[in-house]
Amino acid sequence: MASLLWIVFYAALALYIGYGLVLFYHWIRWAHSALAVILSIAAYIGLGIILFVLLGGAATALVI
Amino acid sequence: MSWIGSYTAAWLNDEKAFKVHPGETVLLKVRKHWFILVRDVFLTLVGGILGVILAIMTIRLIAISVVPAVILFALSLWLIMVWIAIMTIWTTYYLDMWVVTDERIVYSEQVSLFSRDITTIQLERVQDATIKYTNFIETILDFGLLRIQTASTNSADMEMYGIPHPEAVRQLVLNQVDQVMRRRGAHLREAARLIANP
Repeated sequence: MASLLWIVFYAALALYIGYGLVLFYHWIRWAHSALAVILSIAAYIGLGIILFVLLGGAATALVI
Repeated sequence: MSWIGSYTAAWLNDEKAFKVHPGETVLLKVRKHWFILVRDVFLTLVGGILGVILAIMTIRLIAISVVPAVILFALSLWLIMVWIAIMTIWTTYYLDMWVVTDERIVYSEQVSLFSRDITTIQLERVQDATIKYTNFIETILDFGLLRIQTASTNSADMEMYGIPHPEAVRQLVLNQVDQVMRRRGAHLREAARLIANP
């Protein structure tokens, strides 16, 4: 059970990072405003950290 | 280090989707109407909020100590998916752009994450431009479909849905087409005069 939870956690994290890199590429390659690119990247990373802390917290609580 | 300077200059000069020709003037750059972005994000957010409501109801209904952590785990996964969907909507909205210059119309469209189309139509190939409002909200907020019809038989018409103030954009395009055709006519008359009186 515990290992399954962490497999799901790391799979979600890998998906999030991979998808984010593709988005960052598009923003940096095609966006017309440096400010929009910086804000988009900050939002993606910022909310991502909050959501993965929640996910990791829930997984830890379940394992304990 | 010069490549950094040229890259930054290109970025600041909005030359990412296409290169502006020497002497070419950009007349209009337009994105889809903000309502398109708000509508799509709102519908996705509703999915996220429904997930939160469902999680709260489940926690209240099933009073077992382990359940909240399971629900929180599932809810976090769901919110991550919703957040990824919102960022994808933002990306496709922000990277779609319609540019009208005094020579051509360029439509760069982020179709999906791995698919990007850049379509260019020279103004002298434009035959007509039509607009279409399909519902009440489009009429009130003044956005709709703009279709550029071309003289070419082997290329499709250019369409962009969600153009703000489509009538003004249509007028701009048609006025520009008139000017191009007048310039072309003047060149042809001048060429004919030179041939007749070498």
